[in-house]
Amino acid sequence: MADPAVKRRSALFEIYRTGEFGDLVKGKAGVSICERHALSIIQVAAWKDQTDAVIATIEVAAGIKPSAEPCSAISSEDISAIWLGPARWLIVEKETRDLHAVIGADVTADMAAITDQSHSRCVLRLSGPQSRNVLRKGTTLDMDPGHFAPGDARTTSLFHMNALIHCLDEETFDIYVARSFGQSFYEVIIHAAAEYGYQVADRI
Amino acid sequence: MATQSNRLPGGGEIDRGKPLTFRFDDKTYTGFQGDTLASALLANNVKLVGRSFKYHRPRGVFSAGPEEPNALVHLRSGDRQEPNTRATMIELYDGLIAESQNRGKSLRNDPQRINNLFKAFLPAGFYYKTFMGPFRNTRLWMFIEGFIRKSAGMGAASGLPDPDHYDQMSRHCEILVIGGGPAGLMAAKSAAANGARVILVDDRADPGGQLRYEQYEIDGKKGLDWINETVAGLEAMDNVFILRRTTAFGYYDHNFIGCVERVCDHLPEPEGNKPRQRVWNLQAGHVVLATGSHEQPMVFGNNDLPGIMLAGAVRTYVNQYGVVPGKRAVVFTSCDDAYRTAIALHDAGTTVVALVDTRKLDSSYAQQLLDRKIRIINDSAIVSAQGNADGVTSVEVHSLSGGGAQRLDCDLVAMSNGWAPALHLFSQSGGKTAWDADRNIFVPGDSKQAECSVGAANGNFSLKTCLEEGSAAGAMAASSTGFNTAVQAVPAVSEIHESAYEPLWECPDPAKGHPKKFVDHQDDVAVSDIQLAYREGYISVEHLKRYTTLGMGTDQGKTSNVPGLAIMAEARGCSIPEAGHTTFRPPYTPVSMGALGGAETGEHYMPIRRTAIDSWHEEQGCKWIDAGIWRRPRYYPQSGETIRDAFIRETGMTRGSVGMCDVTTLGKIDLQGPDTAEFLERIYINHWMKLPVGKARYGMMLREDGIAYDDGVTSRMSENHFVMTTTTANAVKVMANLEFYLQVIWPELRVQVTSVTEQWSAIAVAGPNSRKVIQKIVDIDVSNEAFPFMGASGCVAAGIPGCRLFRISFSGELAFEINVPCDYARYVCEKIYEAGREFDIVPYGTETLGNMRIEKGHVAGPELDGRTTADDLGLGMMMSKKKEFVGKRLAYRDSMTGENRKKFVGFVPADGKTPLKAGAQIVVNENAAPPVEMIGHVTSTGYCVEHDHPIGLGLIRGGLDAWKDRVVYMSYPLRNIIVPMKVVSPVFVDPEGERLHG
Repeated sequence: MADPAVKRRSALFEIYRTGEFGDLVKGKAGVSICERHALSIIQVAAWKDQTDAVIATIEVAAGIKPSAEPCSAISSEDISAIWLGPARWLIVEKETRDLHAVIGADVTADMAAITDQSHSRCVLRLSGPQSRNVLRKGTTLDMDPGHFAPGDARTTSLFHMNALIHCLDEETFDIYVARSFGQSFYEVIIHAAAEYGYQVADRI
Repeated sequence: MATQSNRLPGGGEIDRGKPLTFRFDDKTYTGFQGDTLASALLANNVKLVGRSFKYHRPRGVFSAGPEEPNALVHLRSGDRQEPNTRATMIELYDGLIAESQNRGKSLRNDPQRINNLFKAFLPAGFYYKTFMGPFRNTRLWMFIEGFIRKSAGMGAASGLPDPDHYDQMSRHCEILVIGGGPAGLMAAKSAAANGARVILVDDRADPGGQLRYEQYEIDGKKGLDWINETVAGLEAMDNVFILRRTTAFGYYDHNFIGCVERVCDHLPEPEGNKPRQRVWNLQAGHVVLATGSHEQPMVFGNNDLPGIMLAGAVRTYVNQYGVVPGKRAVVFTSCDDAYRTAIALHDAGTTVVALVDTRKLDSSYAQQLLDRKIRIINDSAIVSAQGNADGVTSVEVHSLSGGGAQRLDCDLVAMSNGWAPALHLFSQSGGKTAWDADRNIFVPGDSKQAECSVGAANGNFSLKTCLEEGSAAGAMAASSTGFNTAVQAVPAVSEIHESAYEPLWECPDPAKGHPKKFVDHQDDVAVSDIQLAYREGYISVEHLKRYTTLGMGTDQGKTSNVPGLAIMAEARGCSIPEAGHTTFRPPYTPVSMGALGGAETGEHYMPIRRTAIDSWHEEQGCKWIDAGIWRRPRYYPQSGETIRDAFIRETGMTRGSVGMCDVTTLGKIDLQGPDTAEFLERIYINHWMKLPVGKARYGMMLREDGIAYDDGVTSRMSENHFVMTTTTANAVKVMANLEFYLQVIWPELRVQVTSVTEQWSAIAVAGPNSRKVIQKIVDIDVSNEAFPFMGASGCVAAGIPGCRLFRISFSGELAFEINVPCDYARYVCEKIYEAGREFDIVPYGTETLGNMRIEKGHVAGPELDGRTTADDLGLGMMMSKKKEFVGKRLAYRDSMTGENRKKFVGFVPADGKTPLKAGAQIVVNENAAPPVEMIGHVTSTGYCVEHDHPIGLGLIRGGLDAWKDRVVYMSYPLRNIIVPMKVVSPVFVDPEGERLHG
């Protein structure tokens, strides 16, 4: 944790403007966009023979139990554990503590490699009845409810950018892209959302 | 304003309460809501709508659907003008503007209609023949060719940027039904019954297909009512998605279907932020093709006059649009279908002069015609038509058994030579078409993908079989994708059994003369052209197509392919299936480039990667350069500076005091685990086991074939934790390579690799004052003793914990690289800039970065070109003899070693001032006659500020050993430049490395 006087500066710092835009239907936005910032994003990559132990230890240390199920995510109000690959997860929460240290205290180097990726992603939350249609414009994944359901998390090409999409509920998605793509990503998302009317909300 | 003289007082699906005004070629007309441009033009008795491709013959509306070859117009004006749009598919809107194309100033008095007089000299292939004659490749030919190109052709693009935007979208379903006619609707209904996801695609504003213009009853109700009920029922289902105004244009592998939705084409301008058109990428478990069929024309003399139309189209205009396209009609047919047109015309008040039937048999509808006192002329054919630009005025009818000729006055000919299933998508899916000799049509053969054809697309034209096949196919498709089947009951329909269709592919010539009998109206291909192709040896249908352009227009031969190949079969004396069928290729109908491009235009053309300090560079007034998809500052010009001025200043100030550079784009890979050092031993050519914690080392990787691959600095942060850097260009490839080695080649190694390029911003601070600047920023002692060259350490930077500091140098100066978590990078960057102000710190861009590495003789992309070995680059000493590493075995092949390899050297122009050119060849003799042996090339060039002369790096055979201090020549033949230059060591500044270690 840095000097609290120095605020983390998001990749969207220069361009993020809250408000309602595009073709609102009777004054209502079809999709709501907000940036999740500032986050702690910790990658845990377990040694294969330590997978079960690491899952159990993360649960105790961080308060979320990752799932070994491919393309899945476990989330609570405050924290998510998103499957990235065999024995590999991202643990994500709003930055309130040194999550890297918290996990690293219990998950030792002989159990897993832990890498801080907190600054490496630009994360947008899309919600609302048109959120799936916005995503359908950028990916060929099956975005129908029931085929991309709450608790699913997939890595795919989204608007030509590598993205991790986490479905939180029927109409809500967290989308992780590389930080350097942040501005391009934000621009293309609001462009795609304009025909449905969109709201840009305060960061959460 | 013209009145709608051909409009019926009632009937049809148009809304007479909503008149719409539109303009065609400077005249204003009215139509009604529900019209197409074609139906509205016909309602206003506009017969002449275009000029033909080659002969500029007058042409009128021919069809009522996507097969239209003639009525192609410029739609809209200004930057929204779109050429070659089919008037039959354009929904009329208020204020629509359309213009005819391929004409002079006036459509009626098009001067190029004289081409028609020279038609004997413009047969198929005449243009190709101009390539061979005595005038080939002459100025005369070039001159005439300009006219040929100008007179041939279609509409013109506006040449202005398209103000609208386009979009793409993807969707998945279990069952995709293409075509919303009775068969398609029934298929969708039965497929969706048990929850399977169904997408129904229809190219019109509303589904219904033939039921929108035929007069059938279903379940005792009007066909249209059944359609509306069925569509409403489907729309109410969550698992059904209907795409209207959408054409499936391409059927690709894995049941991937490309469609284009005309979202706002029926409006003057797109609404709000809606795209004008949207491409849909649909992925289906099973596809039901209910694409219908296309009516085939009769081929007789002057069959292209305005007023000669397909019979089904005439019926459509009467029934669906309330328009009678003429006052006196002759119907000409080889099947029962056109009888219904005669009935519809008669019932709408048109005089049906006669129905000419090529068959001898009595049609099932014969009695209905006789009841209406319509004369039926059996066993006869129209052999020629007479008329002018205002349309047909009469036709000449001959008996097919010899004898009696008669002339019938008329202003409308409705013709039908049967219906051909629309096999385009089926054929694109990989299926082969099959000839059905009983029904005289091509039908779908065996399926290659998970699809089936139903209804007219399958050659079954009766409404009852359409509904039955649709229902069965929908149920089968659902079950094949894992859903329970429920074959929907098929409603009862009113239709009578039709008698057999007996096609007549070519009508006989009239008693006098040989008028042109057109097969392909859009490309002006007549029977004589096909016969010419046959005589000249182009007998294969694929050759026929290319030689005559038969079926190569924007209509893709929907009304010409089958007659064309039947006529070729006749000429060859073989059967139609022996002559074969040309291959169908996407798109089924034209798709605008804008739609295919989608939203990826302008600023959205491709994503841009920006570093976390991007905005600071902008504020410093940098000029940008693309580095892959990153954007990086190239240089920071001060007022009036050129790029050369700027990089020379930046280089001088950095070497003189201190400079700073954003090097975030270099790849950064985090390696953890007990076997990491061992892993590095295997992938790098040099040693890593004994690298102390807190130290960095330069490493070089080879490809497996021994060629130099990538280089960078890797640091040991703790016993089992390393941080690797790669070049910007290879960051992703190296990461993938490391994963491959760990997962596939050495899974036993306990190493985890993670890209952290995005986590860390990197700022290089270089120059003799860099230590003073850095010491003000970080919390660790950076004196030479405490933090020597190649030191690596964690640090707190400008109050930000968790940063990293490296004492590494690309410039050859005393230099540091500081890594900061990205969200703090701009803050730390500003702090460094502030700290450096007293030393006149200068930000420098890629131009200076590159220049300084050239001065220092470091290799980079231009030298790591996929042909050089480590030894070629002067790094042979790094290659360990004591261990195995990737590329080692092949690096020592004979051809990869030895005196004659091209090796890395430096160059200085002999006159000390002429700039060198990257990419230039190196030769030994200034005036040698070609062929001149090339002994090397210049890879990189720059300007050595300290020595005040241009410099270059390059590869030369034998390297420094063979050429040191000798003069060779830089040859740049494209610009006729020859520059003598001296071969020197590639290290131009601080050859002893004192600055690095100081």
